[in-house]
Amino acid sequence: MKNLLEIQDLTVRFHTEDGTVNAVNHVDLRLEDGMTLGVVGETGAGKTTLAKSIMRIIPHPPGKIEGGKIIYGDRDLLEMDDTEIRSVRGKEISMIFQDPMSALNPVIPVGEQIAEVISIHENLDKKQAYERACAMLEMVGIPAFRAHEYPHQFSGGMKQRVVIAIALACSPRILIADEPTTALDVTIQAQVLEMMRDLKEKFGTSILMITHDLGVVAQMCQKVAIMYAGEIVESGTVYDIFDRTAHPYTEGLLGAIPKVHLQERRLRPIDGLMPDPMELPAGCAFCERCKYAQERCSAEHPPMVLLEGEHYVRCFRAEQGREEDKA
Amino acid sequence: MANKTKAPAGEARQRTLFQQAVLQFRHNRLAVLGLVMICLFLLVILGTLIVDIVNPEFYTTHVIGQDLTMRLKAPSAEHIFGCDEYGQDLFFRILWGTRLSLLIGIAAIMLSVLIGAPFGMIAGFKGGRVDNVIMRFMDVLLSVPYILLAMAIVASLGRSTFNLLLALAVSGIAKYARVSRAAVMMVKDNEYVEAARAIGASDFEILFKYILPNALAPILIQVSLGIGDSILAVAGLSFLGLGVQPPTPEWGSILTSARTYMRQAWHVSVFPGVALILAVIAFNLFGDGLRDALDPKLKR
Repeated sequence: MKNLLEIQDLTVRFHTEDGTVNAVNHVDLRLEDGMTLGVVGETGAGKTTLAKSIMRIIPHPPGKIEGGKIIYGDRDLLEMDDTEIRSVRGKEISMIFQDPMSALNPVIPVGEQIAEVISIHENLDKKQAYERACAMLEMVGIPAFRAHEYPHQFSGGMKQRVVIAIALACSPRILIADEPTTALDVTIQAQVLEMMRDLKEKFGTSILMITHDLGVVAQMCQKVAIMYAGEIVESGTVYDIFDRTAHPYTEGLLGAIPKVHLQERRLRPIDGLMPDPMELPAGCAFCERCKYAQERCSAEHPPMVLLEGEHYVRCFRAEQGREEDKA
Repeated sequence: MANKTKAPAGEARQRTLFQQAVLQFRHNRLAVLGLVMICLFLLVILGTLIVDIVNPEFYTTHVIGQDLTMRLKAPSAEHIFGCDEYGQDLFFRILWGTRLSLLIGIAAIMLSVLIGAPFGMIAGFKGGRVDNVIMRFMDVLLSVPYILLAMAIVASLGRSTFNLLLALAVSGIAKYARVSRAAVMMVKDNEYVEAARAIGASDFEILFKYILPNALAPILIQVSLGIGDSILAVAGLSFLGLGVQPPTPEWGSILTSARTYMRQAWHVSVFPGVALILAVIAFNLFGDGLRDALDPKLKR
């Protein structure tokens, strides 16, 4: 399968007055054409920073992309100048933000906001752009007569639909969805996800789905990457991650999901907290919370190893397991 | 069913933000009173202008015409506000004085905003070094007291109405730069500004379509509240003899001469003072109402 977007060794740091925050550390990630890739991790793992780096909208200062490449087609997005990257944003790659309540400009009617992105990227006059905006609204299930209304007149789920309409208005190749359903209630979540799946089919868009919800991943994604303390700790197909879990952190995440068919009094959370991104440990970032931790884990940083197919994991234990299998 | 979806529920849905603000404003009786008073002042200005055009003699005979036999005459049927120390009719002087007193105040604010706001917006939007350079310059302006700066400017450029206007405008620049900078900084970290960047909008588009409309309310409120101050400053500088020169009627300069005769003729200081108070109150009430109407936190 062709790689549409390839992130190589991406490192993003925030230089604040209190110290340097290592938000994203040497991340490698591939988004294949037509796929939905889920990036999963808990709060503060660097998922949103990763997404914003692709769009190059990390606030600078204090944020800075320190190294790596983001290859889109045959170009490195990080090397483009301002005009070039602006023509990519919204047209080739677009983004859905986490909180639809605040992602829309409160003083502009929604129709005009959709028309805005169309008129930036396409050679259409105002009226044509507005007509297409109305068509987009219909596409996300909002009647076109509401195009002249303001964001505050819409409910949260409706606003997220508008945000999705803005993101898809120029039929981008890649859609980055940063926790698109986190701010919505469960019934609306299901609707929005289903709509996204339909639109993905219709537009042939590849999706980078950022979430902390493994349920969403199972429903939407073919490929998954698990992120922890700014690194990818495990990646593979959705079956690799769910059925052949290799990293203790992924195991912990799966263990923390309530299961309907089992009678459980308590969920099993992962004890402890993520390490401070200002002082990442020398060894494995997860070692403090890991029930399998060995001496080696706190001293050495585990490399990413290939288990099989495209299932990669960053853990000494998995590596040992593989060697034992071979022996 | 088709009909139902086409008819939005209730009128409220069709309102634009502007209409909503107007509605909000109308609920505030004091603010409406302020607006009515402002309109009356504007009518007075318009009326005196028309009289000046239709009958230029009226100004010379009634407004600046002196009649020493009527010196410090108390209010009567003939001169309802009485006369000043030169026997000039106080009623007409106050009516004619409205023009300069209000218009200089308003024009000075407009000029301050036109110069200060763009600088403040750029400082707030760009941040970093640009912000530092612009705002340190504004700090220099702010370090000299408002009236003192205006006095210094008038003193060095010479006494004239235009120089008074200029002085007030310059001394107000820093204030509006700060207000607009703060307003822009508050808005620019909103997610929709980031979202605008993510759809490929340029800095210019972001500043004018996303930031300015959302930052406008606090700036407008400061302006409408600032007009009251500005009118007082015009009167103050005229009172100090730095503004409008007699015999041109202006409330502040009428008050100056009234000071000497306060014991003999109360009316000379009371009437222009009341006019001044009414004007300032009118603009402050209007500004308060505007703030309530435009403040998103109080809305809905």
